[in-house]
Amino acid sequence: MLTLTEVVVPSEAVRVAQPQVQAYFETQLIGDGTLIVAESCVVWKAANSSNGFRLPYPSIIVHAVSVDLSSFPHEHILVLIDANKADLNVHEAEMNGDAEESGDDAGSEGTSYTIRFVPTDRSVLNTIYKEMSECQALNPDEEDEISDEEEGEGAVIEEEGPDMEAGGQRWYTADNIDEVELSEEGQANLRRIFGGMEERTENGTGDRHGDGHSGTRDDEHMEE
Amino acid sequence: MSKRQNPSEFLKQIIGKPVVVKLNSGVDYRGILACLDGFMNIALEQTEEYQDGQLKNKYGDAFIRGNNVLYISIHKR
Repeated sequence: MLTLTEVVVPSEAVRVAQPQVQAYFETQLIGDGTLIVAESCVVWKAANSSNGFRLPYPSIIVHAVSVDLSSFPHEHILVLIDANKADLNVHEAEMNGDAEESGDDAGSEGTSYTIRFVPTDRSVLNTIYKEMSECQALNPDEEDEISDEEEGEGAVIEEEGPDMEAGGQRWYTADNIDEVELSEEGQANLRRIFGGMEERTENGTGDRHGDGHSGTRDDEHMEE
Repeated sequence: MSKRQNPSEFLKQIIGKPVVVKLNSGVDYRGILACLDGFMNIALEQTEEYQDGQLKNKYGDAFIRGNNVLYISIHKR
């Protein structure tokens, strides 16, 4: 169970401020409120209250548009939160119950929480998703974690204005992947993500090496 | 690990393809690798979430923060 705390609503660099958004913690309804997607963080504030919760972008492992009504009865924005990177007031007892359900990987290290945002106006789902994606790119992980008094209190909102030219802003698709430029963080991630590919098999694939660097443009055969 | 060709040569072989993205937490996301950015943040389309081999959820679009990705592999359908 998530307990709401007083939140500072971002007033600058706000991309989306959507009223009438229900928030769920795991599958439990927290209430109705306003979802604010700002460049500095995502905040949900309960209606008629100054309480809510704040999600810094580095704590958001995944955000997605959920359309599968068989797993949850409303279309929604799902966010998966790294418990260690978000300052959420969660009662552990209930969480343990949930965590044990999923079995083998006990231990609090990789604890994550699922939060769902269900806007009354479903047409904003894609906008929220897109704005969150852009803001994620504005908030790479800090090399050294800035201490709480610097970052945590919402004070950072005042100084906002991250430069729009900042790295990571550009998206690469099949059309422009030739121009890809990775930041240092991106390169480190790339090495980590693909470093061990040879050792894996995923449905019999995942093995790409050998003489794969023939370098031809239509080298489509990495699966083989 | 052997050194590979530059990132664009490599990445263009997987972009637009069905992939499996495994998170550090052990959860799998399977979908089309639509695009990525300079931090290796990843956007998938037609995404399915698997936990312990079981389909848990489906998403239209899903955005995964690069730091949380354990690996990506091609998913042959």
